[in-house]
Amino acid sequence: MTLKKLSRSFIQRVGKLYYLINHEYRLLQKQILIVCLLEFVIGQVLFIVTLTPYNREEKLLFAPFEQIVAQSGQSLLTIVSVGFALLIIGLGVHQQFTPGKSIYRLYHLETSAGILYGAKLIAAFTGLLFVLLTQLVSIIVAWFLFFQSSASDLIPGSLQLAFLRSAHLLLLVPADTWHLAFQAVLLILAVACVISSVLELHKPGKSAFPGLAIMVAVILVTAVLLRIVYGSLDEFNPATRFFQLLVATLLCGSVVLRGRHLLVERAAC
Amino acid sequence: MKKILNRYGWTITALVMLTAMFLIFRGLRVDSEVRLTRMKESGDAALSGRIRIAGVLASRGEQSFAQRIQIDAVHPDGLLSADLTVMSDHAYHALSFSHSHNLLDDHQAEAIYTISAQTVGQQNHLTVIRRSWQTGRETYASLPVDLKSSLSLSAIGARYDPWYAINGDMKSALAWIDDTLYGIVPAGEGDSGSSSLFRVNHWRTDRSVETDPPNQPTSTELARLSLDQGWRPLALFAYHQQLVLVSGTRQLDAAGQLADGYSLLAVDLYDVSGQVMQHVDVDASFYNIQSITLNEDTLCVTTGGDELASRLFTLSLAGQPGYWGKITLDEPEQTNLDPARLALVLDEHAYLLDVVRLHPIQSDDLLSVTYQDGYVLKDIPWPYLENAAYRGRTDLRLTVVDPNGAQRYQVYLDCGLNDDLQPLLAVGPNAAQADIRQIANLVLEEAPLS
Repeated sequence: MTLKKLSRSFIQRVGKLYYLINHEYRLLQKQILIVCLLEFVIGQVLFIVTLTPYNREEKLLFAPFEQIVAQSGQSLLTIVSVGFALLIIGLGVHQQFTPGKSIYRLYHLETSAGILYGAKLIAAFTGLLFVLLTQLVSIIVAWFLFFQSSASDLIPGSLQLAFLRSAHLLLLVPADTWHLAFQAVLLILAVACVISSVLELHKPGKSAFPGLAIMVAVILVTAVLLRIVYGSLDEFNPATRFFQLLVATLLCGSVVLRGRHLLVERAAC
Repeated sequence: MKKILNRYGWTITALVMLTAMFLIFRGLRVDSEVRLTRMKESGDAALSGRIRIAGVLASRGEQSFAQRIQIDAVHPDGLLSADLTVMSDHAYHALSFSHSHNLLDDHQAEAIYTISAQTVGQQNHLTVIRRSWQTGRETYASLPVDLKSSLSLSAIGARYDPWYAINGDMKSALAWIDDTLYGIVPAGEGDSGSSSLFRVNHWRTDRSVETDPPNQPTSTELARLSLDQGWRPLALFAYHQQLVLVSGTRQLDAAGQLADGYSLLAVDLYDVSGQVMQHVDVDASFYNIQSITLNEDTLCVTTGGDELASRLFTLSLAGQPGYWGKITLDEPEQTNLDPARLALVLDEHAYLLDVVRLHPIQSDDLLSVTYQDGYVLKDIPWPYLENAAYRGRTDLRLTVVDPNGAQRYQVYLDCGLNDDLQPLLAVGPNAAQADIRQIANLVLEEAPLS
């Protein structure tokens, strides 16, 4: 095969992946936007409700911003929003097993199942990131709207300080490269778990229970890992960090591969 | 449009997200850079080692600015030697509401004290309010005073709180001898009549100024000090069983009206009954007070104006307080002090601490303190301490090592600022160095406070 043919084949595969991602994302786009809009509005309302007593008692000047964020229940809002986003992703995948909702007949699924699964993961990951970004923007907008005038002179850098002092905000904006990598792997894992679970449910001819049980086990192990990584202020040495990242990556990789296998299996039927 | 969105929806979303995240991450992670520059000293070289200045320099007519960082001692050989104070927001608040120039002493660490004045009928009353840090409970003491103000005391009340010490010339209004509180009625611009040296006998829970029983007053006036001729109290300290009152006399113009600046600096020693034991004064022309510190027997008054100068007085229990002399401090480059950026740090020599940017930084950034020639003195894992303070850790130990790896000093940091609002720090000089996590030249480890 000549270089020209190879490059043409590569461009075709990338083009196919792009169209698939675009298609997958369009399936989620409207629902994700609704979740983001609700998340933003509810977030601002929560801030207003929380700040009312502070303003009444003129205490806002001395309230750390991270305290306001914690009291306004932003972390719960994030959890709920992420939960909804994952639900939308799962339902989106589920819908594609119903007739008339899929474009996959346009492709040779036996050979393109990997690309299809990759497109699903990337589109879902984008949607999830969009929800988290909305939460981040909502918090920053609230700081500018309600907090900046009173605090910026007295506490320079109060917004930045909040992102160092609040565990919730540290999750939204990782403080270092290590946490950034860890969280990226965890987000992919969350998306892959949802998609793979739906694929397990639609697995032809076999019981879904063992596969779902494994998914639950993976989620539990991830939760324990999460607890270790974010439960302590301790700086882990590089070996421990590498080990934590390795465990998370292995979990993520195994779930992703399992999902791909299920899709290929499904396509072969 | 719809066609474009259908075709490029994901691309647009991804690009918008990447841009927003880049901007947000960049905005939230800004370096803080701190430079330390040596100030030129001129005057009696023998005095330079005795200068003590703490706090923030204020320029003429501008508000000074409390810094988050205060370094109390720097060795001439270039390494930080002791008493590193890293303040979180909570410490910052605590410091703001206390005498910023002396950090918190034991009493102020327990409570915040403010003084307010109000007029009841024709009589001005002073009220001292003690508010516990821990319980938030307020107790009061009051005193009828002969202080007349051009401000509308009766309407809004004139309130002195230690925040004023950052900006105003009155640097310390309260002092403790054997757990008894002594104070000086702060007299500011436009006040006339008399200031008072007073003692708080006991505290009451009722705020009303008229509830002192005649035979059990909450406070006693020890001395009435006339504000005639522009005399102004500047600081009150406890010195063994005596009180040291630093005061200044405002300049008068040709018409006999008060003018900007001071012409005389005086130090008086009072016994606890309010009798003047000793007195010394010196001619001194200055615009404002930058810092007044009492360190053992040495009183250091740093003044601003046409020149930044430290005047040193020596105190003794037996003899007369003596005036040692003056050292003039010159900034190497800038002449106009920028209060938002500059702080003064002194031990053996005078230094300027120049906080270039105050934004906190990401965890792998370090707060660098450098000499003018660029030599790095130390690095502070600032966010780590901030984070530790947030979580209420009280068991952190800070170790500074020199560039060769040799340990230079070690302090415990009480970072439990969330809980008790007490800033720092207990010193543990001989603790073992185990389980260290080294960040550049600085080692931070956890250790039980013992």
